[in-house]
Parts: sequence; structure tokens; C-alpha cells
Amino acid sequence: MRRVAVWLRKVQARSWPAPYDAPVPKGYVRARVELEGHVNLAWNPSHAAEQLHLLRAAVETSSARQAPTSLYLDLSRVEALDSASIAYMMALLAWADCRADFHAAGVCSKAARVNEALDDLGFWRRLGVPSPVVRRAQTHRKCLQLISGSRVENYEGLWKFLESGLSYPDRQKLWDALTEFVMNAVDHGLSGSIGSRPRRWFGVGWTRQGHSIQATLVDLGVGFSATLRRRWIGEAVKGDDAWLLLATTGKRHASGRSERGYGLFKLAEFVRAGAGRTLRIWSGKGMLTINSKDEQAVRLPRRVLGSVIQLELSASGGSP
Amino acid sequence: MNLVHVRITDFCKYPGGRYAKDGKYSGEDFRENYLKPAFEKAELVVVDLSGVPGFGSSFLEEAFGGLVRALDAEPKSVWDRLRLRVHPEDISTISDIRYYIEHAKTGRPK
Repeated sequence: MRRVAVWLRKVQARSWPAPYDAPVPKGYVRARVELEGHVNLAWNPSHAAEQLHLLRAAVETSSARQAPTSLYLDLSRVEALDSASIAYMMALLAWADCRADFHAAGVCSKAARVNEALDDLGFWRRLGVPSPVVRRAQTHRKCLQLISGSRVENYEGLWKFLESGLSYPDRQKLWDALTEFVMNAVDHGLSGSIGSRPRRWFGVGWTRQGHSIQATLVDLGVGFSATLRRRWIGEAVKGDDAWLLLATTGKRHASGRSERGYGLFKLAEFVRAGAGRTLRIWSGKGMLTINSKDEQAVRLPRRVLGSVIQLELSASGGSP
Repeated sequence: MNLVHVRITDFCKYPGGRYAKDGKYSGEDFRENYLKPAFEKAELVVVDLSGVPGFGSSFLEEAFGGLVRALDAEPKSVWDRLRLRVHPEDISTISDIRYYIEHAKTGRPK
């Protein structure tokens, strides 16, 4: 059974047992990961990729061991977490299915905000522990779903969430986008395994931040460039960022069949066509941001395992 | 002229992916169990697509583009026999379907 210890309040270290010194159950291996700073894939991608790489390395190492791992994830020095990073963390932890001790408060003044962000996406719920955040009046918060299959299960919840604040076409487009994300992940990304564990986990999350609504999908699949390279052998395309750009132009898609490959291409067209829309993709070492004014491909210092795709729509100024 | 009505809500509440192997409520299922029998039976087919949140492009392509391929018909003849009903604010779905039908055999221009 999973045991999770959550330190809820800002307390003096001596009044609580130091979590890292807590006894490890017999047969378990201890691992410790400490994240810090702005773990925000959207605005601070290089730093976030570095930070998430630490967690990924710990999880991969622990999953390679025969013994289960008691993973101590210290978030006390994290100042901000975006939904994409949380989604990615959750998918990693779910995939590894490791025991996890989380330290998420400590002395950090921003801890409350970080905890709120974790709460928004159902991080605590996923772990089966009560949220450390006092519930505010919140009607539009929905959690991230981790799925081990091929379909989003909480359609009703998602639709109700989208009904508030978005025009019909935008709402529908966000819905369509999530369907595309899920199908692409299932179709192309989740084959094979990482080590001895199948790549079966992916997650869909939706959040509201100010006037914008975000839908994020994270999968731990093989990633865009690996999928495309399998089909387009010998193509002189260098770097994951360049493959991401090609994927969104619709000129290269995984199936290679002419009647396929509309999903991401049409979504990118929709984003380019109107203000207040942003599409972000992280895969491998590439990060791509598309909006109506700009298209930017960036090479990250660390490889992101799988892919994270995020569509953000402004709730106030959506349709053209 | 005989006419058949097909409602997406009779098929599912939340349309899924492209192929039946992808899961329930796929475009392939909709084509095989609703669209294709309707086209084989009637000269004019009215497809009501309102009442569901939306469609992935794979669903629509496989259902309507796939119909052209499955019937081995000319795209124009399928389009001429089709009448679409959608949510009043969802005109783009009609143009999407028309595009998928027109390019069902040739694919998307590069």
C-alpha cells in the first residue's frame, strides 16, 4: 500500500521528524529529489526541463531496481509550478508507481501557491491524501486525469468546465484538440516500454488561469521526433525542435498516409488564425510555441520523456 | 426520392477516434453502422451532428472521407446526397466534412 507523508504547514524543522530521516520500510530503497525555482515549462522551459529531468532520472533509476523505492520529493524550494509540469510529474510518478514521500511546504514563502497549483490538478487526490490547501470557493477547478487506456473518462466534467467562459466554437475546438491529443498519444506514442514498464500512462488536465483556459496532455510515449523518424527514414531534419515544426505544418506525419495527419495541422491552423490562442508542445529536446503572431522552436538542455501538448485559449477573446 | 435521417446522438454522446481498434464510438463504427447502410438504402441522407461536444478530425475523416472510399464512389456524388445539420455556431464542421469528402481519395494537397 502506498504511504504518503505530507507536511502541511510551515513549521520549524525540529518540531517534526525530518522527512528525509524517516525510517524506510524494510525492502525499500530510498531516493530523494529536490526541485527548486520556477518549474514552469511554458515560461521557463530550460530550467523546468532541468528540474523535471532530476525527477525523471530518479524515477527511472528506481523503476530499474528490483526493490520498490521510497521517493522523497522535496518541493519546498519550488516557487512556481505550471500545469504542464505538474501533469508531467504525475504521469512519471504514476508510471513508476513508486512509494512517494512528499515534502511540499517547509520554509518556502511560496509554498501555499505551489500547493494550490498541485491541488488544482488533483495531485493530492491522486495520491489519496487530503489537500493541504484550504478549499476556496472554486467552481472551475478540475483535476488532471491519468489514464491507462485510450479514452478520457470524465467527459461530463470536462464539458461542464468548458461551458463556462468560452464561446461555442472555442469550446468545441478545445474539445476537439483534447480528442486529437489523446488519439495521437494512443496511436503513436504509447508503443513499447521504458525499461520493463509499458508506456501506458498518459494524462489530460484542464485548468483556468485568470482569463485563460488551458488543456494539457502529457504522455510518456516515444515522442514526436522518434515517431516521425520511424516513418521518414533518411530525412535530413536535425533536432527535435525542427521535427516539431514540421509536424505542425502537416507536411510530415506519423502514418505517412495521405488521408491522415489532419489533427495537429488543423489545430495549429486554428491557433495561428486568431488572437488569444497558444499551442505549446514539448517533446524530446524540442519546445514549440505557436500563436497568431509568432512561431518559436527552442532546443532544451534536457530531454523531456514523452510529450506534453498544451492548448491555451483566452476566455474573453477567442473566436475571430 | 427516399430519405434517411441519421443522428449522431443515436450513436454516441462523445465521439471518439478514427478506428474501432482505438476504442468505442469511432469514426469507423459510425460509418459502418450508420452512414454506409443509410447511403445504401436511400438517395438522400440527412446527418444530424448536433448534440455532441465536438469531433476529432480523425473521426470525421474516417466517417465521411472513409465513406467515399468504402462506397468507392465519386466525392461529388456523396456530397450531393448528403445533408448536414450542425449546431448553429458550428459551421466549420460542415466545411471540414466537405474537405474530407473532396480529398478522400487524393489526400491533403502538400
